[in-house]
Amino acid sequence: MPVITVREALRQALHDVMQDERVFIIGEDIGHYGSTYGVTAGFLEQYGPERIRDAPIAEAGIVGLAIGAAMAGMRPIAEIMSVNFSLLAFDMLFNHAAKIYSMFGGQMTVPMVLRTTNGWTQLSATHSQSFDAYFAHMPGLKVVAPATPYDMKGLLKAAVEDPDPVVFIEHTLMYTVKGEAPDESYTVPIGKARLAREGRHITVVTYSRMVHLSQQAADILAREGIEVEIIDLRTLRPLDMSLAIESFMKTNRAVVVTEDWQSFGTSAEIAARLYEYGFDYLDAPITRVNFKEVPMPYSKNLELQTVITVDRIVQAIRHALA
Amino acid sequence: MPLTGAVRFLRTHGTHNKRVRSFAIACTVHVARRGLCALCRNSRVPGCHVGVQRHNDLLPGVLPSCVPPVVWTDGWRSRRRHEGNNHAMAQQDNRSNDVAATAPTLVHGAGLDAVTLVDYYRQMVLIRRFEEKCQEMYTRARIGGFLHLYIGEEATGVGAIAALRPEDHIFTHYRDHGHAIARGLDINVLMAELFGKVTGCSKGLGGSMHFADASKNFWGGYAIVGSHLLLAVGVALAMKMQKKDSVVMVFFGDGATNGGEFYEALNFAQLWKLPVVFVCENNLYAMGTPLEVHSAVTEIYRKACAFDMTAERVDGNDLLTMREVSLRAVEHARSGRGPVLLEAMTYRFRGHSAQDTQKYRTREDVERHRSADPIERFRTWLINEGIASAQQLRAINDAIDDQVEASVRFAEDSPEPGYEWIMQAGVYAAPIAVDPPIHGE
Repeated sequence: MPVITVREALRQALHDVMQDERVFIIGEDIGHYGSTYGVTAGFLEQYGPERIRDAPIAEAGIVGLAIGAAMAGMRPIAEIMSVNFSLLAFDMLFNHAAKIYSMFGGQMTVPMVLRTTNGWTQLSATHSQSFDAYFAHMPGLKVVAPATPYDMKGLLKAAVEDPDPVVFIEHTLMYTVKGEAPDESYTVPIGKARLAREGRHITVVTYSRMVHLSQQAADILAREGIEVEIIDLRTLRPLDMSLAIESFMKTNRAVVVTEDWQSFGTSAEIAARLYEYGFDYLDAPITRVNFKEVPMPYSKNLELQTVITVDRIVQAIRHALA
Repeated sequence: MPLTGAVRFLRTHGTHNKRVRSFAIACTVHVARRGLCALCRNSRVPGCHVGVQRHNDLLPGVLPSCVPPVVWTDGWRSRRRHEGNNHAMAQQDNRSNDVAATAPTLVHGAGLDAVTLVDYYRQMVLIRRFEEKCQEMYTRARIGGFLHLYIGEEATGVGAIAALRPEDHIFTHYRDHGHAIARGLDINVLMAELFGKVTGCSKGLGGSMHFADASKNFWGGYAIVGSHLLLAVGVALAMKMQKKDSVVMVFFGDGATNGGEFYEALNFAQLWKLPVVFVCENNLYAMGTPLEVHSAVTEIYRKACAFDMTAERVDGNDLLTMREVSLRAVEHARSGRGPVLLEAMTYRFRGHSAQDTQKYRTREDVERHRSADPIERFRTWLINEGIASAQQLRAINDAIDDQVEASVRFAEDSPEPGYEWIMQAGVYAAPIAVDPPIHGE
C-alpha cells in the first residue's frame, strides 16, 4: 500500500468526490491564493471557478451559503481556514445546519461538510484554539476528527456522501504525517472507533493528532514493559465508546488525552462515559491530559508548557498506573 | 446659510474646492434627513431619485455615496401605473374559486382577471382570520411559545408571492404565517403545527416560527434575525449552478438589516449575480425599537447601494403595487442580472408577539395605520372598480370563517406526539446508533 501524507490523502479524497457534479468547494483562499495548507492547490485550474469558489472573508456567509446550497440539492464542502474563525459561523452551524432536518419534521436535509483545522505554532491566543467540544455538543451535527491518512481519506469521502451536516476537523501539525492509504476510492464509516495499538496495562482514549503523540508515549513506556492500548475515537458525534469501554474493562485504568481545555471539554465527556459504563472495573481514577487552562501564550517557552507533549502523556500514564 | 443659498453658492463656485464639496455633501445629507430635497425641491421622499438626477446635473461628483445607481420609481407613494388601463393583455387563469367565479370576469390593467384579483383578497382575509383565531387559541392556551402575528402586513406577502412561479423558492422569518398561507399551505396543517400535533406541517416539531413545506419550495420560517438571508442566497447559488431559472425570494424585517448577515448576503448575491429578491418588510419597528433608533439609515433600500444593487421602496400595503414591483424584481433576478432589494413599507397592527405591551408606540399611532388597512383598501377598490360586489366579498369572508373553524377542529382531533416521535421523525437523515447508548436515553 502506498505511503502518503495526510495532505495527499485529503487531496485524493477531494479529487474523488469532485467527480460528483453536485460537489463544490467554497472557502477563503482555496483557489487563487493556492490554498493556505496546500490541500486544494491546483483545484481551481482543474475544476474552474464555478466549483472552486474563492469566497470573501465572511465565515457566516460561507457556511450559510453551503447550507442553502445543500438544501437545494448540492453537496457543498465549506472550508473554514482555521477553526478559530468558525466562531463567526456558529449561528449558521448550530441554529441552522444542526436544526433544519429535525425542526421542519424531516422535510429537508443538509448534506454539507465543513472542513476546518485545529493547530498552534506560536500563533498566540486567538489562533491556537480547539472547539471540538462545542461542535460535538450539538445534536444534529456529525463531527469527525481522524488521525491517519487512511482515515482522513475514507472519512472525508464518507462525510461528503452523508446526508447530514458533518464537521470535519483537521490539524495544521498533521498535514505532513505519513501513513498507508490505498490509491483506490473507499469510505471509512462515520461513528466507528479504531483500535490504534494493542496493550494490556492501560487504555489511552484519544483522537486526532493526540493519537500520534500517544503512540510515541507508548513506545517509550514499552521499553519498560508497560503495554499501552490506544483507542482512536475518529468520530466525536456520534461517539462510539464500545472499543474504549471494552478495553477499559480489560486494563481497568485509563488516560484520556484530548487537545482542548479540560473544563467541559471532550475529555470530560469521554471520562464520564467510561465511569458510567466501567465503574465496576475501575482500579484508579481516570487521568486526563489537556491544554493548560490559559489563553495560548505567544512565547515559545510558554507555549510548550501549555500544550500537550509526549512527556506529559508519559507522566499521566505513570500516574494512572501508580 | 439657507439651503437654496447653498445651491446658488455651489453653482457659482463650482465643486472642485474641498471645503465646498464637503459642504455640499453635508447639505445633501441634511436635506435627506429632513425628508425634503432642497436641490430639486419636488420630492416628498427622503433620498429622492428625481432629485438624484438633478443633483448629478447640478453638482457632479458631490453626491453622498449612499444613493443607489439604479432606481425604478420615484418613491413608495407613487400611484399604481396600470390604474385605468383596462385594455392590457388578458391572462387565462384556471384557478377555481366558486365564490370568485361568480364575480364579473373583467380583465384588469395588470393583466389580471377578476378571479385572480378576488383570490388575492381571499388570501389576505384568510391570513387575517386565521391569525385572529390563532390569537384566540393562544389566549385559551391551546397554542404555546411565541406567537408573532402578520396582521396588517398581508398585502406585502400576498403581493410579493403572487409574483412567483411554483418552481421559485421562498425563505422567511419567524412571522411566517402570512407567507405560508400565500404560498398555498393548507391552514389545517398550519393550525395543527401551532397545536403541536403530528399532523402539523413540521410534524409538531417547529411551531409558529417554523412553518415549512419543501414540496412547495417554501423553505420555512427562521427565527434568528437576518441569518436566513444567507441560506436563501445559498439556494440561489444552487439554482445558478444547476442552470435552473428559479428565483429565491427572502423576507425579513427592517430590524434584520443592521446585522452582519444582511451585508454578507447582499455582497455574495451581487458578487455572484445570484437570482435573489430580498424583500424587507419595513414595519417601522425592530421588535419594539423604532426604525430611527435602530438604523443609521432609515430608507432601508439605500443600503443596497453599497453593493451597486438595484433597489426600490414600495408601498407594501398596496397589494397590486407590491405585486407589480415584485414581478419586475423577480424578472430582473431571473434574467441573470443579479439580485434586487425591495423595501416594502408596511405596519404591524398587533404587538411584536402575543406578550407585547407595546409601550413603544401610542394607540393613536396604531389607529392611524389601521385606518389605512390594506385589506379594507383592496376591498373598497374591488367594489369601486366593479370587480366584485360587497355581498360577494362578504360571502368569501363567511366561507373563510368556516374554513378557519374547521382548521381548529382538525388540529384538536389530531394525535398528540409521544416522546418516541422525536426519534421517529428524526434528528438525523442517516442516524447512527450510539454505542453504548447515552445514559438515561
